Amino acid sequence: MSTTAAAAPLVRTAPAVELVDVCSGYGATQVLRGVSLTVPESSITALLGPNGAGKSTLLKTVSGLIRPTRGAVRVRDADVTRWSANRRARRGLCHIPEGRAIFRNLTVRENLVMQANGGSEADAIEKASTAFPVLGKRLGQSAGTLSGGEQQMLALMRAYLHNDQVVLVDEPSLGLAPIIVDVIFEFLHTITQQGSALLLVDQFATRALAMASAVYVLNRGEVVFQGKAGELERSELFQRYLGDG
Amino acid sequence: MKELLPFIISGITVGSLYGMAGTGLVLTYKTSGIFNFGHGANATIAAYVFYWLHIEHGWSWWLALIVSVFVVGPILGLIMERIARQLALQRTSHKIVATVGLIVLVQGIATIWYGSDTLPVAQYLPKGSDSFEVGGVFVSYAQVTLTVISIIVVGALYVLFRYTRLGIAMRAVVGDPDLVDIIGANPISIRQMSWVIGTTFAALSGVLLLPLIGLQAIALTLLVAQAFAAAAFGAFNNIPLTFLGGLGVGILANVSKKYVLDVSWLSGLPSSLPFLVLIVMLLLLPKWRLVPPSSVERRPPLAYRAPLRFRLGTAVPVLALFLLVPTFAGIHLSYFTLGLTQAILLLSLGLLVRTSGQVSLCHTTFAAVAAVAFSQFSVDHHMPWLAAVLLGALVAVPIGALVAIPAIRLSGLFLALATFGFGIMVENLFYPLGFMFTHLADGRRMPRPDFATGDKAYYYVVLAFLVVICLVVVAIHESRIGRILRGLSDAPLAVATMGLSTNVTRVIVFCISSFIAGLAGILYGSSANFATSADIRYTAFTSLTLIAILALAPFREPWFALFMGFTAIIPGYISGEHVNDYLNIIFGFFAVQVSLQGGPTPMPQKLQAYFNRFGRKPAAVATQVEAPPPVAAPEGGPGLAIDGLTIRFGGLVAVKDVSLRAPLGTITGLVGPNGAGKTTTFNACSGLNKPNAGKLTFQGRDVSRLAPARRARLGLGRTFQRMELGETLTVVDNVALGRESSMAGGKIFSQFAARPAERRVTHAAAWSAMETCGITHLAELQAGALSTGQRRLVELARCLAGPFDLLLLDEPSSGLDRAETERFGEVLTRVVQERGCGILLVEHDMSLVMKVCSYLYVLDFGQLLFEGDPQAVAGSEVVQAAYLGGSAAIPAGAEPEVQS
Repeated sequence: MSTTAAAAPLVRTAPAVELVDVCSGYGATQVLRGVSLTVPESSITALLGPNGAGKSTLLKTVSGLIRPTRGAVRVRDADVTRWSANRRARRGLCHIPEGRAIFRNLTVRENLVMQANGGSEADAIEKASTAFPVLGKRLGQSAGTLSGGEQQMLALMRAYLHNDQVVLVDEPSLGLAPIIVDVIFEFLHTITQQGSALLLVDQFATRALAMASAVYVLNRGEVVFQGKAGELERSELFQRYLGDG
Repeated sequence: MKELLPFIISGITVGSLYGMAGTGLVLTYKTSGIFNFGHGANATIAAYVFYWLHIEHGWSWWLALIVSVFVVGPILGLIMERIARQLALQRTSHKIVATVGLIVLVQGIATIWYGSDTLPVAQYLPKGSDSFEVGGVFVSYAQVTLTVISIIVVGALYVLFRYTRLGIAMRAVVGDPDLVDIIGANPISIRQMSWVIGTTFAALSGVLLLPLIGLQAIALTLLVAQAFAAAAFGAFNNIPLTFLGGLGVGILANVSKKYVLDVSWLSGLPSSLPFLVLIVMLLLLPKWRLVPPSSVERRPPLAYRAPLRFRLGTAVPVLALFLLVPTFAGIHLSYFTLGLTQAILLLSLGLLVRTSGQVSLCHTTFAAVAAVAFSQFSVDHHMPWLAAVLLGALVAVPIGALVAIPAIRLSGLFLALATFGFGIMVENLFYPLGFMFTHLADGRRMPRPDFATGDKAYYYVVLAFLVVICLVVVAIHESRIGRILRGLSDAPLAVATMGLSTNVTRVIVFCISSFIAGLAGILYGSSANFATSADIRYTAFTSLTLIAILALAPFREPWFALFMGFTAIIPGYISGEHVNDYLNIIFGFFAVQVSLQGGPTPMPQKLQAYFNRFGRKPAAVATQVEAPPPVAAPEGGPGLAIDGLTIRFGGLVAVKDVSLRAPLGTITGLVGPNGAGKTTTFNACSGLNKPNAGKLTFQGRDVSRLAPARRARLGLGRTFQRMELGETLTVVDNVALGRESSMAGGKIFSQFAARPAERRVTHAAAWSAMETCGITHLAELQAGALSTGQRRLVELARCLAGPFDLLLLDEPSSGLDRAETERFGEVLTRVVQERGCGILLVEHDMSLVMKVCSYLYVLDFGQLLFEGDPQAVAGSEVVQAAYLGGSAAIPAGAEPEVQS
């Protein structure tokens, strides 16, 4: 895990994440078909597309849960294509998959211990309680019994515990009430302000676009649009969702 | 009470050791998902190393203990983790066979090392033979030491598991290994730690139990297997409960010793009690507590079948060779007869394990029960020989059903565990009794038929049985029961939702298998003239060897039985004290090996090509397609109606008050963002989950309470998002299952065989469906070898071949490329036009949905957000917002559930 918590962000020339012509999938099922994509440092990149387009598969390929069948994955200058997921994570890659990335059978405190991954338990608890006092009150409670919003806050803590990471977030607002969604998106902003680069997948495309500086649209495993977030009209985006983009 | 105390105290002592072994087992099972039947074998290895160092080389006991437990244990643990890691992707039956193979392997090695007689070991612990008196009861220091050690060790594990970082990581791996991986901890090293700890626990229990029972491989292995009962008490999950379970089992078994002193027929109770507890616990535990943690499966290797002509051409010389055996076998003839009987036994086991994918670890028990019954019919009741044989084997059938029926609700692993316990329990409890093998050294007399009392004549009798059984087994495989069994083994969920009552099928195959096993047991007994409880062919342990042999026997049915016959003959030609033990080492080792690679190595391509040329196997037969089968689809029927459907999982409301209509003759779409509750709604329609509220009506009939198979037989068919295909079957066999599953239905006789008319209908339906989907050219290929797009089409064709009026298609286009999706859409439209059936389509690809659906329902947050025709949906602000987010996302009155 990146411990270079320098106040001034490092000047990096290479992008945070770079995919070069990546094909990837599950067993015989190919999902990504030759995807190339770049996530710049210290900013938010949105990854949009209809369900089944391959967004989650792309994030899993970057974090190492899936190995690509073709192409290369680079994270901050290092070619990590052959690295295990845990090695990538120790180098500052933080993937928060869809659907409450927490250990439901562990307590909140134990989840934070896992997230600290060898770092100080007390620090992690203090940071979490400061960011979300509600977590601090429920340290001994089993994480599976938290509300959906609290579970998501706990999952996102991993991106917040360490500065200067490459964060991949998959559908953080899924199934949450609008008022909680506001909190979650606000928190994502805080995370980038700590120097982390963010690749964001979210079904609330308009919100994601409002935050992001760059955007990629995937459909059926191919990039069908890439550009600045402001260039993509909402109606145009919906058409791409409906197909034939 | 006072006279019970000594029994309770010794019960606590052994019970705490069982508890310790049990917690080790639970730890490894929880963290890896692999249930280690060989847990006792690990204990045995450690005990033998201890014996070797301490007794043979005179090392002091503590040094020998440190080496055998804390050096050997961790090494074994690391080996086990490697095995478990590779097994994680294999089918359940392979997971079971691999660790059973370990038992056979270790038993072989250990027996060669120190023989099969029990070697006594003096208590080596300090003051081992001394005791003190408490309240009038003598307690030995060894008992106290053993109990204290167990409590400390298990307590330490509990603390580690609960409160340390490693323990947290271990529990995290249980919950979500992938998440552990992306958090930056290595799940493999965490699992290694738990295997090291778990196996060291087994080693420690083996070394500590050694003085109590002496050195004997099978006894040690099975004794530690009593920890299974302890683990069952903790639902294979809870460490403190497992330890308590161990104590309970120990106390119960020892206290029962006092009571059975006077009741001679119960003398086997103490040693069988833990297995009785195991079986009872398996029956009592609710099903959801016993779901095995891992469900990932690698596709099985492709099976090859030589052309019929080649097989027949081989059968003739093989049979001729068998007929000639008595002319050259000489004094070895009895081994050949034995080989034939064991080949029959392996055929019966193969039918169960290979064809239906269920594992029985008590097949010799069926053989023993039938042999005894035969002897009673024949000797005591003077029945004619053949009648006694058939009736005797028939007695094994209810015994098989007795094991199968209660265990059938459990998954494969726990069925195997129940049979394992059952075999040992019957052997300990009933074998020595009067109505079984009796107390006599000669056991029971097993007559041969009057016309074949000589060895040569009897050989031919057994050969005749083998030939007939081979034909029967082949016939079973060629008939409906064989086809649905293969489907059941590969894709149980699919055949159930196509109309097959799978529990009936499972019990049928268990019964057939136990009947044939019974025949083998009788024929074997008659070849030896007597059947005794000590005969290795009847002991429960041999069931384990059989499983190992079956794992590595090459070829398909019935040819794999040849291998068994061959192995049985070897001891006749190679003399030596340990031939069988060396064979067990080979069987055990290769059973592990074969299971790790997911089945026997497929026949080399070159050999296949040669066989094919020899038999001139024709390329896929272009069969004449008859007129499409009559599908009883009333024009424009009401189809499926869902009213007020609500489904909760724990506190989460997955579907809330959803009502929709899917009439026949049209395609209705069900769309919505991820997690909107679409698949949950589907599963409720086909009966795979239970709604909390709401009503499901199909063609005007309330189907809310019917089982999946019943709904399918009424005309409700479906496909799966995660495809459920018979991977080892050909495409045409897969597609035909769509029709045949519902014809087989829930009746015993209809599951057995197809009537000629049904055969024609199935054939026509399958070919017509394949033609509709454009996959006739793939008919003879194996489904497991196809691309995703082709597999989706096979699944659709299978659904089309069924007698279904409404098809529920769950994301049928996922994994298809653009061109494939387009063709897929055309097929759907054509099917509805031609057959008048209805389709309810869950689909992510909005362009496909817009093109083919005539009416759409949009779900979000488990609620109906919008309904209308595709144009209305495309123009809807509400739908746009649901898909893209924004201010209009939440319509009035449709507040999403917020958990509290």
